[in-house]
Amino acid sequence: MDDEELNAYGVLLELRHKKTTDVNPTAPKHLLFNTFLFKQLWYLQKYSYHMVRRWTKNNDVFSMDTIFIPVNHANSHWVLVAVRVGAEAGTISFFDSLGSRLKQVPLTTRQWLMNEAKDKGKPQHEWTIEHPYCRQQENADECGVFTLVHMDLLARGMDHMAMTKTTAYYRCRIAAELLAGCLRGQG
Amino acid sequence: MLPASEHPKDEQSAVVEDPEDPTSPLTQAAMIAVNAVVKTTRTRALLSIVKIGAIPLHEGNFKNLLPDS
Repeated sequence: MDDEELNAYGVLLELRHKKTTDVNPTAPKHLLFNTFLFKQLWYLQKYSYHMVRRWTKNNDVFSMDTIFIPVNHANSHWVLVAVRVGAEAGTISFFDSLGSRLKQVPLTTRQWLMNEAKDKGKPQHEWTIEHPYCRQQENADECGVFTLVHMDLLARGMDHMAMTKTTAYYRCRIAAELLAGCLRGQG
Repeated sequence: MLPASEHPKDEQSAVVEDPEDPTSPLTQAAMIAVNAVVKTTRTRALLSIVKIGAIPLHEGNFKNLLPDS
């Protein structure tokens, strides 16, 4: 799956979220980044906060409940980082359908959050990194499907393990949702 | 389908592009017809099927998405 498909689905998630919070202003707040955030943050294989510093000039990441960051790891495998932001502490969850416990992506995310707090004059948080167990993909090209479905489920307040149908089903559903230009549910 | 005005005429069909090979299928008519097919395919691949926000999605994106692609 390419950046276009992931980012287009991210736009649909954002639209649904806006609709949800318009109707219910107390609903959990999400911030969805596109796939280029991490590419810029890890520009030329080097941590580069200055490349993304202005990405959040209109969004206070610390006022969100959850932040979603899809990451194309090593330009070959899609994984998802979901950051739960609390008042003083938070959790960085790394979802990988290949079951890896990679450290570089969550550690880079933590460094970005610490730089964000410093740059925007916010108090520093305590960040815990976790690698929740995920359903594993059964071939080499399903990682994008897992990343999108995990984002959809988590944004709706559901468990990521609620992904129980075949990946073929989810592929068709994602295509149908993109053609329809909207997502079902609330979140 | 080519518009009627662009359909190869009979006299064009008789023109062989390769004079060394009188049975060559590369007549004007054949070349016009083949070019039209190629042009149509290229154009279709470039046209977006749907636009989500600022992101246009093309036929190739949906081929990527659908099962067994």
